[in-house]
Amino acid sequence: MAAHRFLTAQRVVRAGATAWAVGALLAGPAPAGGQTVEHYRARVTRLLEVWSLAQAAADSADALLRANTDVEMIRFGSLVVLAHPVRALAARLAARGAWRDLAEILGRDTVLLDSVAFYLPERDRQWARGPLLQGRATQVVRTLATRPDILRRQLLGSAERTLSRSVDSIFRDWLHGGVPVARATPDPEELHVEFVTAPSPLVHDCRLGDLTACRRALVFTDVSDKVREWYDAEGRAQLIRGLPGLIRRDREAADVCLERGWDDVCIAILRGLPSGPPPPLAFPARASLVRYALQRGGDGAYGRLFDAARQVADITMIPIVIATAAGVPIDTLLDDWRTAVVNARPERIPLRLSSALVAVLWIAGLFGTAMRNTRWR
Amino acid sequence: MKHLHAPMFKRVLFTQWLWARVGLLPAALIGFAVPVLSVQPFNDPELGGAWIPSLLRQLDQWSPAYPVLAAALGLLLGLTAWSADHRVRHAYALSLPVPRWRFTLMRLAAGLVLLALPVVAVWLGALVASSAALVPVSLQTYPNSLGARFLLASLMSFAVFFAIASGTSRTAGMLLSAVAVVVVAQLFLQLFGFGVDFIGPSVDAVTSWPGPLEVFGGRWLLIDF
Repeated sequence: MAAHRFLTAQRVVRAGATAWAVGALLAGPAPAGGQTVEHYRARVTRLLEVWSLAQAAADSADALLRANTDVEMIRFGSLVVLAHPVRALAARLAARGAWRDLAEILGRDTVLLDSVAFYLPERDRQWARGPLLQGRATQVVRTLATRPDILRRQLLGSAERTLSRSVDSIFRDWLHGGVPVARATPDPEELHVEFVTAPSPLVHDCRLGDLTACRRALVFTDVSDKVREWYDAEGRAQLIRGLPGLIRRDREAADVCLERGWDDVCIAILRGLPSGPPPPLAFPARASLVRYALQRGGDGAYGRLFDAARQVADITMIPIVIATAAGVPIDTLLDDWRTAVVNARPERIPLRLSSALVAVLWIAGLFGTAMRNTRWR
Repeated sequence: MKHLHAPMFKRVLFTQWLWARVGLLPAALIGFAVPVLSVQPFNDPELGGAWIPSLLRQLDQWSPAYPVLAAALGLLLGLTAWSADHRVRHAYALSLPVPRWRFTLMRLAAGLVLLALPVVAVWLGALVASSAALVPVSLQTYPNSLGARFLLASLMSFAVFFAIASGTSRTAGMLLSAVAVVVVAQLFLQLFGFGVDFIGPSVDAVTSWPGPLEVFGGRWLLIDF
């Protein structure tokens, strides 16, 4: 692949604009007599314009420097990867695998990647900013990996982070980092166990069909007193029992809370946590709900999700975003998701048939060895 | 010759019972008691869904008792089957008017019959515990699976120790020497900077499927999801 040269014409235009603006500023008419506020305001405005043009010119100059480094462009559909020639082969294999995964997950919403190019710099030039490609922002994937399977995972992670940056921070924080595109969502059986073992009574009621409890457990509304509204007395004690670091930090208080059952002390311990008590249903359940909504929404669901999640005014809009992605009302989605989790009860069979058969064979073999002992033949 | 088998087997069984009863009866009692005691926390009348993690943790604390008991039973029955013969250098057994393999088979069968006592005790204890415990809706009891696993583990342990004890002291010595050589070789090689590991993979091979000791691992829970 030939190396790419960047925006030569655009550089010329920008440089010319810079020169014109500076000249216009310098040649501006001097005020007669006193200098008015309006005059200074106009000069400040022109200075800002000059600064913007200069910044753009500097970026272009940087781009020219960066463009001097050879890069190979690898394209699969909407996925564009720019790689240093030394890493091009591994990058190509990684990009092919990543594209396959993204196409399967995003469907026609892979067009969301049209505005970004991923750059894999040389292993010993991880600080490089990466070349510019017209119409695409460059996202540097800083990694020392050389294996295609690891690079593939890095590309998928980078794609997820890049796409997630377009959503509002409130939604991003609610999901603990971003929309689950490439991240593995929890196994339904593991989620079932979380539902069953969560210390919050909200999760218990959600499991039994109370959708209001589900909404509260998923923190779809702001809560003034998390410790009291998310957990009851037994739940608080159970929560503290499950945090051994907390117990070690203040053993006396923990003993009073757990051994004597003083709920006020339990409340004080949980209120003393820097980030507050953990939410009843955290990332695994939330990511599972979002992924369920995206699967339910079918083709175009990711696009609808990203569009709806660009501006989330407050936390109460999150269920609207998820329902928009799914294309069904939020209560319907919650009920179906809850049912799927409840039905994913794990089959825990303590003894597998294969283990039993192998054990019987070993036993027969050992007994046969005893019978064939030289002493007895 | 055929008419000797039944009375002979009864005599072999009785003598092995005499040798092993001191350990066998307590093992049976322990085997019955362990499942019953392990489910006591489930009988808390204030049981709620929030307590499930702690209930399962408490139940899991009893888990090691089952494989340890199974191993001990196998050791007891396997060694006591041959200890008397070892003392007299098998002179009595070799002088009996039966084929030698038939005598060995009688010893084996007697050990299996005696093993049934503690195994049945564990199974009955699991059944009693399952019916008596207040099990939350989201959990199930596995008394039959637990009993079957205990049976297999006990049989495996008995087979191992029976095979070792039926051999000569020289055979047992060779086996132990081979293990010792492997351990010492690894220590020496690691001492001189060679990062080799024979023991880890060997232990993994033996304790994971399809190794012989795989049946001792896993979840020994009477109550689970």
